[in-house]
Amino acid sequence: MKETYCKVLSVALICSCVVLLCSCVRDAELTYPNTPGGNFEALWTIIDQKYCFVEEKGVDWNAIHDEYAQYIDTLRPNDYRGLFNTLADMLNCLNDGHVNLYSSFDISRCTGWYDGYPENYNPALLSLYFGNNYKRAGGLSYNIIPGIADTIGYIRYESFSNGFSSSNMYYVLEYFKRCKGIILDVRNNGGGSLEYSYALASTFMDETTHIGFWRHKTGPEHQALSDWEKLYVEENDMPVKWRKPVVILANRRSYSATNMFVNCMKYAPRCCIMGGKTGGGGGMPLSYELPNGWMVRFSSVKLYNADQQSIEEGIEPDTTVFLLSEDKDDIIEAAIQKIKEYD
Amino acid sequence: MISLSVAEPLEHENVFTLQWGGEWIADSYLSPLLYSGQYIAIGNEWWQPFRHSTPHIWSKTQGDWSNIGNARVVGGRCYNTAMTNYIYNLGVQGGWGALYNWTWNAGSNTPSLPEVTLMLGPYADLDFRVREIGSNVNKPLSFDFGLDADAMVGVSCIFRCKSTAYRLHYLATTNLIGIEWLPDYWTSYYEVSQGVNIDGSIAFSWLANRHNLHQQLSLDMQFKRVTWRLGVQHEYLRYGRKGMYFSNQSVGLVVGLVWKYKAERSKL
Repeated sequence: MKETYCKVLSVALICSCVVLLCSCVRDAELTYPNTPGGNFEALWTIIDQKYCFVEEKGVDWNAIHDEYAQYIDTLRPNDYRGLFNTLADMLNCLNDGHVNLYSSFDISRCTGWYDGYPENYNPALLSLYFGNNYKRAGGLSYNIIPGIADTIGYIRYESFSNGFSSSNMYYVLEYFKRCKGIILDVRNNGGGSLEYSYALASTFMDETTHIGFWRHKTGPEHQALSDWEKLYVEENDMPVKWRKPVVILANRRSYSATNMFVNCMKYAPRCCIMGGKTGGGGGMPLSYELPNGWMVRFSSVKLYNADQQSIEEGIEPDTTVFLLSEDKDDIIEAAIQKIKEYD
Repeated sequence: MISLSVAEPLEHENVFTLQWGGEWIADSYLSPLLYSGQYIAIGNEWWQPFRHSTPHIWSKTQGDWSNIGNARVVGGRCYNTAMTNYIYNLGVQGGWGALYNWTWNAGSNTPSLPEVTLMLGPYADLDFRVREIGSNVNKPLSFDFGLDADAMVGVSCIFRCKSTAYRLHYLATTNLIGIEWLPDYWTSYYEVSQGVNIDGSIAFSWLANRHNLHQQLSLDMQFKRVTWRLGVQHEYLRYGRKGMYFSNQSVGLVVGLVWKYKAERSKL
């Protein structure tokens, strides 16, 4: 009988060890090798399969692979800066501000999407309209523009990464309640959270409004996209609602979540977009890692306006105004005039 | 041993455990890289018979049903190989099952013969883990969710050595069928959090497309009036489809406190 016990125990222990060893298999298929070539191939494949604008950007991604692969072959194994620069150059061929390579020592960025466009923004001129004792509510800076018969409020929003609450918004609107209109300046606002973008836009909506669509990638093929999914800006449920004119100031550096905010405001009542064409960035970025731990950011979800037009390349303003003067902000001046004329 | 009642007592066993060990995570929704690190867990396992033991048809054996359950909270932190990013994970696991026990030499008067029990039965478990990656854009979180019907098998051997009682215990659980949460890689966190475009994310799973193995080898040692458990635990979870892989593997030490008590069956 004792022999039987030993046999049973031995079999059980051996079985458990076999199962344990078999299950300790590393998921090797997940990664490319951590070599210059492996990182290059991983990056190229990530963009090829996961980036949603490969065709829209009009680049031959296969040709780019062949072109940059030869540079990779010339790199020394430990030349990580050379590898970074080569990979960054390859990504910059896409001319997309949402495509970046992150390492512990540098972040690549593309400037082609705003180079050659007018600045349309001079921060030194803002104090003329803003004063020095402006108020701040969350990420919003605001004040009533001095020296104007019809009082006009001015809000400067530097970044959609700087949050604000509905309480912040309540006090801002309450401060402006005697104003005839508001100028909301999102020039040089490089974006941030889409949630804040929708939240800010909802302040100016009379009702829940259909503002666009999104489609995300559904597979590695360039054209593999999901069905059109409608996007809405919900009606604001704050006790104070803004039912007066609002002018949005935008320029080419209004990007990403700001671009989406401008798109939302295209459908807002009593609203005028003024300044220059926005920078675009009409894709929702995601990120992924390379075998060496660097991270690549890229767009994977396409955003469209309500007419199913891509907003990746930017949104034209309702009124184009250039900043030409050195002693006044022509765009703010035009916005003031626009509100004054509003009936 | 605490006697709560002398009338028709049923033996209950509870094991409170602390676990610590190494963990390996692959979550291709968040990253293609393998993350490794450490985890800690607190758990409680309980066992009790459904009824009193009855003699089995086999000679010198007893057969009986018992039920077993466990609940565990686990947390860990893992890094990628380049140490450029990390993943936190926090999970809760729980399960309950019924085991049929075949016991040889139960209550033998011969101390040299150990009491051996084979256990086999169904088990149902719920596994939920949230993973947060340190650096990511619009995909900060991922989670495992699985509800499985499992098979559980175990061997237990009670023996004495130098007047100290020991119990060597091995228990393994593997999933058979169930359901699992399996997001599409392409679905962004915004969509998941707003509940759009997540059709098909709850999927049917079975042994061929989901491997969930949980095994523990432990030794219970009785010193004076306290019984301690020392053991090793191995967990392996792997599932995926459409190029997506998720796996979570851990090997750790288990230290536990075992206590038994006898409770009166309810009389209605």
